[in-house]
Parts: sequence; C-alpha cells; structure tokens
Amino acid sequence: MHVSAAAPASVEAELVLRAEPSQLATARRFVEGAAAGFGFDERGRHELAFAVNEAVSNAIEHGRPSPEGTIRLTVADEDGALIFSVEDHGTFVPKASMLEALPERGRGLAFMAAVVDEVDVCRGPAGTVVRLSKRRAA
Amino acid sequence: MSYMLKERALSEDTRVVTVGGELDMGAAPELRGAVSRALEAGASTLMVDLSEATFIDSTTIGVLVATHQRLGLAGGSLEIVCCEPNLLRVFEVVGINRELSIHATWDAALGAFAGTR
Repeated sequence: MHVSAAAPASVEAELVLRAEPSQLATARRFVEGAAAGFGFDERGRHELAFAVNEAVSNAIEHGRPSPEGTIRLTVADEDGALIFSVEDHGTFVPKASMLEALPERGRGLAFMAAVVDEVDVCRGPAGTVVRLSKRRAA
Repeated sequence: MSYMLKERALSEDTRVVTVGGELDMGAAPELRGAVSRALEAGASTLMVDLSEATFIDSTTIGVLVATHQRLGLAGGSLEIVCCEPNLLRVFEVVGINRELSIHATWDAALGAFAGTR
C-alpha cells in the first residue's frame, strides 16, 4: 500500500491497492478520512465509503489489475464535490440487464448511483475508470 | 478479518445467524455458507441478526435477497434484525427495505415470526 499524500484538507491523494478483498477495509478507511477532511457528515462519509467499496469490489472481481497486480484509488475535490476514481486495467462494464437478472450480483452500479451524485464508467484501451462524485450538502 | 459470524438453532425449524463487523465481499461467502447450512438443516425461518454490523455491501445484500427469495418459495421467511442507522439508510436508498423483512429489535423479529405461525 502506498499513500502519496495524507487524505484530508485540499484533497489530492492516491491509494494503491492489491486486487484482493482484504484490501477493501483499507479503501474504506481512506475514503472516510478524505470525506471527513472535506466536511462530510457521518451519513455522507458512510455513503461515499459504500459507493467506493462497490467500485473497488467490481475492480477486484471483474477488472484486471495492473501488471503489478494493483488497483488505483484517487481522490480530488472539484467545484465543491469530492471525486473518487477507481482504476483497473480490465474492460468490464456492468450491463443494465444484469441488475435485474441476478439477485446476488450486478447491483453494484445501481447501488453506487443511489448514494452519490454522479457515476461515470469510462472504458479505454488502458482499462476501466469508475468516477464517483458527491457534493457536500449546502 | 473485519467481521464475525455465529450460528445457532432457536428450534427445529428456526435458526439464527448473527453476523457483525464489516460485511463486504470478503465476508459474503461465509454468510452464504452459514445460510446454506441453516437451510440444509431444515430451517424454514431464518433470523439474521445484523445488530453488530457496521457496514454492508451489495454482495452481502445480494445474499440476503437470494435467501429471502429461496425461503419465500419454500413457504418460510427471512427475518432481519438491524438497528444501525447507516445500514438502514443503505437498505432504504437501494430500495431493499421494501423487499426484505427488517426489524429494529429482536422482539419485533420474533413477533413477526410468531405472526406467521
């Protein structure tokens, strides 16, 4: 695990995770720290941890880690919103039809969208980036 | 390991799975296994106690939904005990609170169970 900057304050930080479920708790602590530093209340912090946890879980399960076997989680603030990005080197994009078809799987994307303001999934030649944006309550 | 899990029988056809801590995709297989053991042991009512849980993800929610559906088809029921506001909020925003039978206390869950008899 590498943390290139302390999470809070003028938020710009990065966490590099191994593509293993045991890393999810580390990802959640990183998100909670950044969200607290940005001024989110308990509910907002939990919602962000929930959404990012879903994105990292998808990357672990369906993505392909970098050649080093890692997934990259970054945070930045932009126009009053906190933005988390989860990058892996796979090209999995959940299909909408999966949301209904499989009770145990595939709900992650819809769940993320329920608790943050924007979810963007960008698939490029280098991999998949899921970007989650949530504004601080006014 | 950031979660804990216990299993016990309340009666011949009623079993309890208590699962606490942070329930993410690392914990979901254990919960799925405990639920399967309870159903294979003949439980028609399963109580899942989340009183000590502080986090739940879509994988774990999926296990609960699948269990609810499986028990429903067999004429049984899944009763969930949960009082943690963050978890209740997650159940609500993803719309699962309408699908699952969630109770704030053990007494309420036992009452719901008794009401089905």
